[in-house]
Amino acid sequence: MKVLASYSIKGGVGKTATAVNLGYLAACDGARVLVWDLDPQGAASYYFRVKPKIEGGSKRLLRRKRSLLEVIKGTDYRNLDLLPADFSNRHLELLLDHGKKPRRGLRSVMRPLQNHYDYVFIDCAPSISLVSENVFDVSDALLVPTIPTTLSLRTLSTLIDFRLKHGLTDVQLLPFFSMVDRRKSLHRLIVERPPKKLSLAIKTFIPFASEVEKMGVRRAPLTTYAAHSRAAVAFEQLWTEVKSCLAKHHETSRWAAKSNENFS
Amino acid sequence: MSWNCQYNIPNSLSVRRLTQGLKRLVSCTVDTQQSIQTTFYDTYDWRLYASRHVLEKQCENSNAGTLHLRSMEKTGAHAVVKMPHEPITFLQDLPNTAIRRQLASIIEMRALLPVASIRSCTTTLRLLDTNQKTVAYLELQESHALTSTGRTQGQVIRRACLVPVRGYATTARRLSRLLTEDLGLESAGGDLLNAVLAAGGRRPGDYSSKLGLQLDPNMRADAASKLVLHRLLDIMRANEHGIRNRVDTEFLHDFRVAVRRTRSLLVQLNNVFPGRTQNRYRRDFQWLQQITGPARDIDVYLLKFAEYQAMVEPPLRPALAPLRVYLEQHSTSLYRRLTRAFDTARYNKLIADWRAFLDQPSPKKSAVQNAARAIHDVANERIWRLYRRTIKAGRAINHDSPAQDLHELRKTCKKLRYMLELFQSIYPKRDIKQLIRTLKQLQDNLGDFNDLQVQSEVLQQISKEIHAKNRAGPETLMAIGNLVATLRQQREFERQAFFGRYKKFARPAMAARFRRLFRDAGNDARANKAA
Repeated sequence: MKVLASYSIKGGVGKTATAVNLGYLAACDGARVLVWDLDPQGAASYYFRVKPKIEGGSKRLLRRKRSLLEVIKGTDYRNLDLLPADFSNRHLELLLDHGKKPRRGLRSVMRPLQNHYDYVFIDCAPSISLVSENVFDVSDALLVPTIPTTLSLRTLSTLIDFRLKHGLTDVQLLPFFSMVDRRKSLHRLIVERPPKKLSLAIKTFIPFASEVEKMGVRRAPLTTYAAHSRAAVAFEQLWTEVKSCLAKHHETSRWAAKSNENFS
Repeated sequence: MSWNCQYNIPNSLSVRRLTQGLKRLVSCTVDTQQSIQTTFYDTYDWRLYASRHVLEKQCENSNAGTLHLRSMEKTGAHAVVKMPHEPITFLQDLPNTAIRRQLASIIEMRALLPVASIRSCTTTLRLLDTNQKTVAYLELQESHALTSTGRTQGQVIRRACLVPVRGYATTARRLSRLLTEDLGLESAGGDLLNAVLAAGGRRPGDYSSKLGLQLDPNMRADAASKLVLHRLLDIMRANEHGIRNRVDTEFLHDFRVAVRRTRSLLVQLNNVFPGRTQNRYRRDFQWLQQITGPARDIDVYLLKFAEYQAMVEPPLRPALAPLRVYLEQHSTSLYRRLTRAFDTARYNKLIADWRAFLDQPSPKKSAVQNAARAIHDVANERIWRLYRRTIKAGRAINHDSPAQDLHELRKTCKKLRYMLELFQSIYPKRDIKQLIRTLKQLQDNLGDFNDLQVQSEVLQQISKEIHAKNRAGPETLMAIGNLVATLRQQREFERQAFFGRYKKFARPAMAARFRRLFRDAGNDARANKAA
């Protein structure tokens, strides 16, 4: 199982679109995929038409009174499941802090997933907090959508420093440009000459497109209704690049697969 | 979820009317309407069916399609992968996805063979909730079983299959009730595969390397033995075509096990058949065992090749490639030789004569000492004697015993195991299973010890041959040397493990069970007879 977190300190950069679209593309490859909507806003759950509600809330899950497997919902797409959001996710920070190992609380909760899924995409809420540290602990890679603007680059730079300072080098950092508007000269300039410090491993960028915004109207992954659009093609390229980065960086996942697998 | 989700659609109800009826009761849309050809796959010994799995390749027009692995028990449990044009036979032909990993533990080294095909018109409906979210799929299928030439056979199979989406079990149960109570569908009571196999006249599990006989303990020894030997002959014959066509390695393996069991029975059941008959077939089956041996040996080396590579130091691993090439070439020529042997007059006469002998009814009066005795008595005597021999030989093994002594003990264990397995149906099931299980653990240890001994010797021999024929460089010879050293280390590990396994087998509780089943029961029978 490989865990990919769609993460950014900044909001409105395309995290949910990334998790939902890449999750869908991974499932199309035949992999067993789970999208975990960790954002209390529940946008990913909305896109998949699933009620953002978990019986008993996050508290029961974190205290392991209920297995994650029990609350997973199938989506409209084969091989693609969703762990819906819950409004109680806003208290996740507090719940983790009260646990025995505040920085590793998610790890034990996620353990039952490892024989059931090939990929878990976590759609994170924008912040840098204890929840984020837990996400860094469980993830093989962080997908960081970044708008080519000064403020977005600044937050990315903060994240890079944070990762180095806290020795989180096990988790691969995969920033990429998102919502790129070629009409804007600043966007063009940054995409063509990104700051050296950022050293982007991923070359694909996701264009700003109304088709992506329509995901909220269609409530479906982009490829299902606009497969040939520039944005959908870009997401496909992005997924190909992410897979190749993962293969280069991790010979084995942080979640080593067990041979005795069951059906999901 | 483990409720049945397949329903028969009555002939009086068309798919269109069924869809219309459903639309009045629940929000649904037509997802797809497809005409597809489905081929069901399984191994020759039905490993998938036995583990309640169905593997099917669905194609629309060309050979390309999707491969589906589903459980017969859990509804909705499903793994899918897109398949290219190439036919699938072995695990390595599949892309490295969930299906391959799930199949690995079920089919192991066996080839996947098509067992049945259907052509179906399928309408898939999405059943939706108030958010227009899919909560279940309903597949309405009208299928025809196909012959190997692609012609339709049997009656049309009309099925509705409810596939619930994960997390919507309660809704799916409600939909299931709606289908049966409001729309009048009947539960199909079995998987579609069963109906397809029945239409094609095939019975799942029609081949098994297991004996599957129920013998009467009071049956005459000669008649009971003939029944067992007949079954073993059928197993040999059933595997012959797979060996000729080199479908997979297990055809030869099953063939050889049947031959070995036949030989073992001929030797163990002394004085059950006339001496001349017994001697002739003992000789002939020994010949058959010998001619099939070399090809099986190479099969084992090839099956273990990945393990061998892992045993060698990483930098030397690529240097083992010439060994693999050598083994593959050698294997091809040995199989060719084996196929020629199957075409010889000697082989065909052996099979024909043996079958004729087994088909002959046993004479009412026989001069042969044990022929007319109850099989229970004869088997008791032999098993008890073999058990005592095993214990005696095992007790004599110490840390300095030569490998030959362990090999002899292994052979005795094998004879004992065959006797227990072949006549298990005349003993209490629980007792006999426990004895076989513990004996198997001991036998596995002895088998591994012997295999490691033989493998290291043979690999050294091959290394010399490769060197003499100039077919590999010094790295390959070094890699083989490295491998042989690891095999020897493992052999010593197995030797150490022997004492624990033997102790478990020879423990008093096991001895008491052997005594109760095979000695005391025999004494009681003799006492009753005398009385």
